[in-house]
Amino acid sequence: MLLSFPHMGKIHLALAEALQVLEIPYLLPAAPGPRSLLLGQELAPEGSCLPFCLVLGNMREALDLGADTILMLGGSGPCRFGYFVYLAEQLLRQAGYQTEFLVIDNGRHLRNLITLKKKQQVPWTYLLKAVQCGWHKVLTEELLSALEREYLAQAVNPRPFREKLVQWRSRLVSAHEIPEMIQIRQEAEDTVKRMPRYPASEVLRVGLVGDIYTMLEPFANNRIEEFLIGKGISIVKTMAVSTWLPNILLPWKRGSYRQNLLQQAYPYLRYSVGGFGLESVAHTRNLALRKVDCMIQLFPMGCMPEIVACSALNKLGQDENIPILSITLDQHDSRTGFETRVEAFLEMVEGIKVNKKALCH
Amino acid sequence: MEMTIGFPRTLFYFLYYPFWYAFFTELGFKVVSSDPTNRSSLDLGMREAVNDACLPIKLYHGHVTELKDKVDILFMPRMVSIRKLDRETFCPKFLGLPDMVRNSISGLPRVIDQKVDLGRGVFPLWRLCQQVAGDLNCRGWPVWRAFQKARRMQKTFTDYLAAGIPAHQAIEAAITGRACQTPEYPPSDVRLAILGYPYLIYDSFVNVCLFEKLARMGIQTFTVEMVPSERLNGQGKNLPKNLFWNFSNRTVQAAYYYLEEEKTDGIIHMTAFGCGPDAMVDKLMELEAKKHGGVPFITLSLDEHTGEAGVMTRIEAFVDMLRLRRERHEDIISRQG
Repeated sequence: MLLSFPHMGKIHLALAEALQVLEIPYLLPAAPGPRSLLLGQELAPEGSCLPFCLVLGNMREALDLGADTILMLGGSGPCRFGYFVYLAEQLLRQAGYQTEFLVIDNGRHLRNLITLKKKQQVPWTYLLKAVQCGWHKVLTEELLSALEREYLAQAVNPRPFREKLVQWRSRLVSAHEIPEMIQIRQEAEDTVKRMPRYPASEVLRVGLVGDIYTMLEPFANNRIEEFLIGKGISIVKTMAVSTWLPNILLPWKRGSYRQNLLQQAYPYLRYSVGGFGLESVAHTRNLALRKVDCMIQLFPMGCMPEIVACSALNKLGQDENIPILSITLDQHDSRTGFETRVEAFLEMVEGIKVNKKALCH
Repeated sequence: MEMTIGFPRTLFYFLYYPFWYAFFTELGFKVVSSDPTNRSSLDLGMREAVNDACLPIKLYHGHVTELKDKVDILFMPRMVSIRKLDRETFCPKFLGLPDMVRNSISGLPRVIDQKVDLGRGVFPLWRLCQQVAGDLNCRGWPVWRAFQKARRMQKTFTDYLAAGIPAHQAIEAAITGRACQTPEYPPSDVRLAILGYPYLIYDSFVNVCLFEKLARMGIQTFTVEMVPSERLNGQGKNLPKNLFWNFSNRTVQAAYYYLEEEKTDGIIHMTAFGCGPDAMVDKLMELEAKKHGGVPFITLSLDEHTGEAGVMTRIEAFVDMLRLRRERHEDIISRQG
């Protein structure tokens, strides 16, 4: 058995770490790129969303390299994401691929873990350690990314901070013990706390919301984070594997998490519409009132939950006076058009900010 | 004065209007629905709705805009689920429909947006009716009476639909109580299943009067609603997992039914451009049609610009191919036999 899994942001770090502990051979496909998109488009139905094309293409890349089992998350909708793996299975069979699927779906994640455990004949303690190690790895990496995108632009001396980030990351790659990962996290947090920074109000701050795949996968969002960081802009993004996974996999967290979001999104959205529609609305309101100067919503064309959220964001933006830019990403690979729109928007927001400051003085 | 309740003439109108019409009328309200979809509903909808929304959602915005100044109360239920099947629900845009409309259209009258969640609890439909009636300050025995009448009317209506009567006629017949005559079909040589969501299939503005035209071409048509409901629910066992959306499941199941029964010569799938679930539905239907010996299958994608000529050309070509194929087939049989 050679296990593989499609990419989504940093989730591969967790999976790879866990599989290493369990001593299961796995294959890591290349990060999604133009080739995955092409391979995916060949098989995907017309009108399917960008994430599906990329996930399908990524699976094909892995299978072409010799993987024979695919590990993937299922779901129960109403977002299409939950059906990705089932449709992909049919499409791949149709195209002549012979592959097994290990689906982690409602009520099935425990069963699948047990199957894996039996296959590998590892004791329970190992399994627990695998899950924990994977979890801490992705948590640490995502913390580093979050600190980088939020504070790099605010640092008075960005250079040493950037060097530190490289050091932590390389240490994290070789770290396989939990205490070490925790230590990296602490160091990073301490450094940021002590680092001389410009006051937050002097830097342009942008909030990012949207569906999970577009938020987490750089190729799907035209590498917007790199682009913004390069312009000296501080980014706040709440979407991360480590904030999302526990809330969907642990049943006791689900209820209160949703209640909380519903409260924040009220009255613009009064019901969960699947995917991350509710999150987008709740976080926009939350961030825009406290932390950021403007919001950018990104979603693939045809993403149903985000379309509902978009209508709520339009109204919310008007009522609370928040500049919001919603961009629909399709399967054409054109960064220039995208960047022009973002740039124009940011210049406008900058103008507003300068005007406000002038009024204050 | 009698209070009026507005019911936009699109989306779930085509399946559930008679029920709510009977219910509200019996409670002493006047039910008003918007005009049948026309150019102005489309224009209004395109102006008000989010630009990424699909055609049906835009039309719904258009119908609401048309109705909002004419009625005291707007009935826009939040459709969550209507049967107990896994965790079946509706498309996210249906789940957020009342919110979308509120966010996009200003100057709305009072809105009743009770959650229609019939997949859970005991006697969910009766409880829903109680809640809706409660919003209108109606309680007790009259509500029960209205509920019973509504159920009877809905039953009559679904029977008409199952008999193949076009939805607008069936609705008319059910609410007026007049007998409904099965329309005379000219002799037909081709049978086609026209599958898709009720708001596309039964809205003759959206589908450019497809059914009338097909009947004139000598084609007998079958719809999702014409599948006996007990047979419909039994279909799709070989799906890896049920889809999450009610209308989508019904469409896929109907396709499976017609393929299994070999009742039709071909399948036309009507879909709205940008419909999320349909990207998957369409592929599943296509795969299944292939499995049944390559039953001819065509997808018609409808959007704001749907021109009659374009749709008809594609349909005519499809039907011509079916006839050609049959002639050749008969040729082979007669030569060999």
